[in-house]
Amino acid sequence: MENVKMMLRRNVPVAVAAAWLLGCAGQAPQPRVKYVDAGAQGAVAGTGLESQDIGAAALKAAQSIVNLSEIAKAATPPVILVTSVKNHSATPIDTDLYTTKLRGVLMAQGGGRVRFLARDQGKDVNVAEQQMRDTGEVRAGGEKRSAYTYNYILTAEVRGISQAQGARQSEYFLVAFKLIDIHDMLLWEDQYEVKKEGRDNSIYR
Amino acid sequence: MRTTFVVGGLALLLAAGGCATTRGPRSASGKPISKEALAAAEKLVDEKHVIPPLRKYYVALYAEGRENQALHAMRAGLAAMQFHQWDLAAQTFDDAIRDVESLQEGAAQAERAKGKFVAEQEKWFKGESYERSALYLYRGIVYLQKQDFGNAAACFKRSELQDVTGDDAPGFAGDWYSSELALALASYKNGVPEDAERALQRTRSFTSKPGEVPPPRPNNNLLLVVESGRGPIKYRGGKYGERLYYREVPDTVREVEVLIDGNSVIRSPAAENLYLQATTRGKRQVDYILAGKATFKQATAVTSAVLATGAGIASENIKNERDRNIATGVLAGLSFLSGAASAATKPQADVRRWNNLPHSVYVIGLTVASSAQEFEVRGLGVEGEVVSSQHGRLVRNQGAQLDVLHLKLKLGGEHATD
Repeated sequence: MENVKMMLRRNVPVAVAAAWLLGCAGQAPQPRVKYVDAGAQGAVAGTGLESQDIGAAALKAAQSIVNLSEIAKAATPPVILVTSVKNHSATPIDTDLYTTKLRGVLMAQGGGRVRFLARDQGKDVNVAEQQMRDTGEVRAGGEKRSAYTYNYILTAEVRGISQAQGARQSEYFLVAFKLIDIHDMLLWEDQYEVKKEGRDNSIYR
Repeated sequence: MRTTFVVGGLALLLAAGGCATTRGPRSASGKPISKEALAAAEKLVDEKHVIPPLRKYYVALYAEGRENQALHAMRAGLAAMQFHQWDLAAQTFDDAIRDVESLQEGAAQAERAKGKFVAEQEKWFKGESYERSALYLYRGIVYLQKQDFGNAAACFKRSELQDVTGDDAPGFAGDWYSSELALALASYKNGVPEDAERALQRTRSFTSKPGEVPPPRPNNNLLLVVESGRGPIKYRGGKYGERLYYREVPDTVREVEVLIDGNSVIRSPAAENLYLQATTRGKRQVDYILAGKATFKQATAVTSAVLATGAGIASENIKNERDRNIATGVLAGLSFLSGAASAATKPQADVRRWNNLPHSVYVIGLTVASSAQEFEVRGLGVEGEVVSSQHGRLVRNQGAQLDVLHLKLKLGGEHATD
């Protein structure tokens, strides 16, 4: 009898503690913030396009463009209009962010060999300012507005094949860049591929 | 012996009750919400200048913990759309999408929720497939309103990808009629008519269509999205609540009629019945996990009862006092442990749901004049009678290729803002 009591005395407190822990769910953890490398895979990672994919694609395109003979050997740096990234994939992407990233990488890699039009950013403000100068609303000064045209347009589009079966997901992305001159001649094209596969936890499927 | 049973009883009470005595509000997953968390959420909602009708959605979103974030983001995003807060809706849906698409974050909680002693609802909410499809449908509509037709099309395609089914329901995967109709319209506006034609072609084989919706046209400049009724309600069934079932709240609206300046311009059946989408998903992998938990719960309960009976028999039939006490004590102890394991097992299905989804969604493409016009949207009953009506003034946005008008039909008729 004493042995039984001893055994129960030893085990019951453990069982009580375990039962209490099981029965009492904790509250949600507090949010934590930390800095991470912008080129690193995110902790949230899914199978979609991520910042490092776009950075890598933009870098590859920029390095290729600045080595084109039309760019590298031009007497004066050609002007390029970077058009907004077009999305034809099955994954929504922040096309404005990707366009900005592409232009930024090109700018960094160009080393003064190319110049960029910022018509989307500057035109509305500049036209309004010129109108105010013309009407005398603001003091006229400096040169009269004469907007640049471009030598080439740079387009980027994202296409993809997405598949899902049960918990498995597969995504293939093709990021295609084209450099087109004012006469619609395709001067250059390059592509960047990303394929990702993932598996969601079976409890979600 | 008496002391042992008192301690054992205390353990069972603690296991069964846990923190059940804690008063105050609880999250959708059943956890207590602290006063501090509520106050912080209220402060954040103030800082973000959320309009009063949306406050409750955003307070819940910020106060109820990480595992309910996507759930409340879905609810809040849709509510924001209904109040024409398009930017807020976009941002909120994106928060939900981030959780739904994440394969890494929340993985530990998901793995834990497979355990016998952890409830399924402790996993981070990602929704059932019909809720995930609806999330992308609505996000796509917000992109349409923003004239971002590429991303809108991407969302409608993604809506179909989220509509996965079990092996026992193969014909119902990727059969969201509303998403294909919206994809067709987005593709026309995006300058890819071949994608539009392919989307419409796919709908011809859908067996889940509530009816034949007039297809969108390339020259449509208004998308009318009408919602009616209440979405499917999740509830638990089975001996231990381990089975997930859906209840339909019947919708009195069977068809929608649109009048512009008093003239009827179109009648359309619903493009989507969400109850049908919820119930044609087939068997889920999590159903097998929950069934395993329920079996364990039952087996441990039966074992506990058998051992308790054995203890009773031992106490009455073993003549030697020392042997009787040992046998009774051991059997009672094992019975207790088995009973505690049974009580601690949590096989209940997760019934958190996107509770402001409608029963039906109507997706109607229209071509309207650029001048302001009076419109009326009538919900028609089974015999064509008007059971609901909304009216307002339609003012097209200058420069927009496509305007989006999103309405929720309510019984009794209400004035809609344009």
